Amino acid sequence: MEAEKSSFTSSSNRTGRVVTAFATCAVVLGLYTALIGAGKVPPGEGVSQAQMNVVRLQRMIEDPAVQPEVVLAGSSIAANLKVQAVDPGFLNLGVYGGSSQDALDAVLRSGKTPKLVIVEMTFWISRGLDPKLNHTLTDPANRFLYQNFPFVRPEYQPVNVTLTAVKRRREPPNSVPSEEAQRATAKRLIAETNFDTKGKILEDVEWIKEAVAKLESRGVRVIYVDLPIDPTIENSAGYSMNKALWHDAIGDESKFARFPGSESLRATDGWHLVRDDAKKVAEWLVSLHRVP
Amino acid sequence: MLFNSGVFAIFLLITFVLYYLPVMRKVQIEFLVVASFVFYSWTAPELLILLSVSIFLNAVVSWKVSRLDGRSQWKWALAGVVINLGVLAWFKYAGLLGGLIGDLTNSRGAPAIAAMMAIPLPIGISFYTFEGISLLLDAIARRRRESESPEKLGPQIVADSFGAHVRNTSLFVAFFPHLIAGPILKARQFIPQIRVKNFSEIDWDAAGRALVVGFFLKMVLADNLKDQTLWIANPFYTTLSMKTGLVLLVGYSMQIFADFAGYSLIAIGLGFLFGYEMPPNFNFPYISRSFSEFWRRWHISLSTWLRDYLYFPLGGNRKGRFRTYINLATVMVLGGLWHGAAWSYAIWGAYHGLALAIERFVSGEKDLDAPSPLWASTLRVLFVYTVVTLGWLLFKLPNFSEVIEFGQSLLKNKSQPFDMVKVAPVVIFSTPVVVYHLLYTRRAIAFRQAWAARNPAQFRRVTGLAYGLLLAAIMLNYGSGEEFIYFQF
Repeated sequence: MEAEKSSFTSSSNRTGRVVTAFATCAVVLGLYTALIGAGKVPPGEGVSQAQMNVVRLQRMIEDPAVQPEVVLAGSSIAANLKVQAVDPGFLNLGVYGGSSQDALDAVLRSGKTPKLVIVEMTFWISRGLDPKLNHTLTDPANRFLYQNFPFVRPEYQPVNVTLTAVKRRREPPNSVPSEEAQRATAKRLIAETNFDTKGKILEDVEWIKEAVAKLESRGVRVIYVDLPIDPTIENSAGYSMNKALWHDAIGDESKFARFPGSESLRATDGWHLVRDDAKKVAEWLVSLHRVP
Repeated sequence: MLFNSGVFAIFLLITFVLYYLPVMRKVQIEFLVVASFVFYSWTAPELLILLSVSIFLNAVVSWKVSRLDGRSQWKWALAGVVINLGVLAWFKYAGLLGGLIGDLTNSRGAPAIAAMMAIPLPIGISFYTFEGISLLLDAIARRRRESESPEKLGPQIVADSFGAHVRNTSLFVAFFPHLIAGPILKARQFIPQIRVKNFSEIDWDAAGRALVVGFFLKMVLADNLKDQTLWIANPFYTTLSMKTGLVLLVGYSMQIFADFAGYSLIAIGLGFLFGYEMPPNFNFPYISRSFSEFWRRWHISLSTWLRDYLYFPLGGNRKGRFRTYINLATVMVLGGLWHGAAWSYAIWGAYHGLALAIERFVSGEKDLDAPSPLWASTLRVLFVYTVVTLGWLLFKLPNFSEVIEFGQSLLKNKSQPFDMVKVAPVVIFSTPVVVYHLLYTRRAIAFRQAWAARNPAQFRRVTGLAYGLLLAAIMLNYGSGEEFIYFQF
């Protein structure tokens, strides 16, 4: 800055450059808005997980064109399942680093009525609603900008649009850790994860039950799913205890669905299934919609 | 209040408009002080008490030392420095000390230790206590020059009336653009600028450039890189391949620069809007060819503060080689600890102190700033950058055992491929930082200056266009807003 400053701030027309800058900016934004309006800018999925969350939930809430038949509400465990690739009528509202509550909240706020909402039930419901994400989605200024200035929407950010286009052409390799590595990861996670929520998880289930009741009052069918994770973790004492708690709190076992044969599934990091197994579970989830 | 928030935009607009209203001219300085207090206390009004006490004490002590001589002057000055450092130590290091005592005596759970460890850290305290010390030392230095070398007296620091001095001290310490994360101002630089300002005097060009580049660095680069470099955290790094982990570490080095340099530029730009010029805080540090050059380019306001008020008083390099190494190490360890109350910051400081000492030992009397062939300069820049970047790991992972674990994980996963989903955004958002640095190499500056002299109108148009594109990028590709990394210090 200093070197540059000494080189030309003595110019007699110092404000001229400010005007040029603003004019350039206005032209660029105008052109980009026109391109978006003409449908020449395909929306991106999000560059980071945080951005993916915002893009997915914001589109569900704000975009009238998004009218899914089925919504999968959950955490990153659900986000890892490519249900939309199996059935385009599905909308995956898996929230990275978040919970089923974040997704359910978005469905409620949208006022939309999908035929079916599948709710992921895993330990991560104990995260509750993410206040920062919730603020982003509900802040009036954000909503005003989203609705009136399409160029500020994260889904149209140039880097996001570009990287999404590249990603769609290149499928990442199916990374399958060795059995030994899987066992080591599972053991470490069981030791490190404190499954003791001190009863808070019951409050989380209550929140979910209230949200589900509201959806059902709108005529939406809801299914709870114990989404599969690494079997070693799922069968551990801490995890099983929480699972029993949420089953008891919901009470109605007929509302639960369970993937058959989850014992043989493999996870990359204890929580998220490897690509081939994730595909099997995604296909099974789609089949739930077909069951009357 | 964050610079990149809607609340701040409204605050700025209201403050700016009222500040230049003709009816406000009589109380313009006082108004800016009040506005700065509002800015500081927006989310935690109780913090204003400590800030006000600190300002008042520094005003009283500096007033005294500017009117006393000899032993009484030194007594007041010593009391002032001790109070400032005591406040900083209490709020910033009591937790670290409590933890240490708790570990040594196996009494971490004791109520007194727990209370020490729970003392909250008031935002900006590291910055405003250093500015308080600067006021005292500059006031003493000026008082001494009055009798010893009146020809080098310099501008007045302590006003003639106590009321005006308290007001000036308040603005110097609390001026909102620099209050929370610097640049750390020196009293002799800022106080002489305090007077009623006119709207017509605003340097719009300088303000605009600093604000556009600052917001671009922060909102587009740092905020987007942050969402990728979060993988350098326990336990995520255990699954990173070596290649991916190293790219993410490079991304973190770019992020920390973009975050802090961006904040500093925004502060400088805001200063221009209110008629005050603050010193640059960054001068393209990643093109440094030596560690000493790096510290003349990185967080300049802190390194010059440490140099002027610590390294020189310790004797600097005037007391022999061995003493110079000791002084360097002392200053760097204390500078490291200034960043945070964790041993990893002290290790980080010691790491840089060691690098500086080795560099001085190896280079001897050689002038490290002398021109060298392009290939040699490039190699030196890459070497300094690599050492500095490895050091940032201590910032990202303040728990030292995690730093070791991070290294072990990378070695374990050395045969795994790049994770392009993580790497591609890091490359995209890091490249502008590299370009930004390359634009300020000696050759690039010379080229630009020649162009500006040859065809000033064309130069203005092209640079105006470039700033316009940066402004558009801020609106089109901003990241998720987050606090500035240096707020925690």
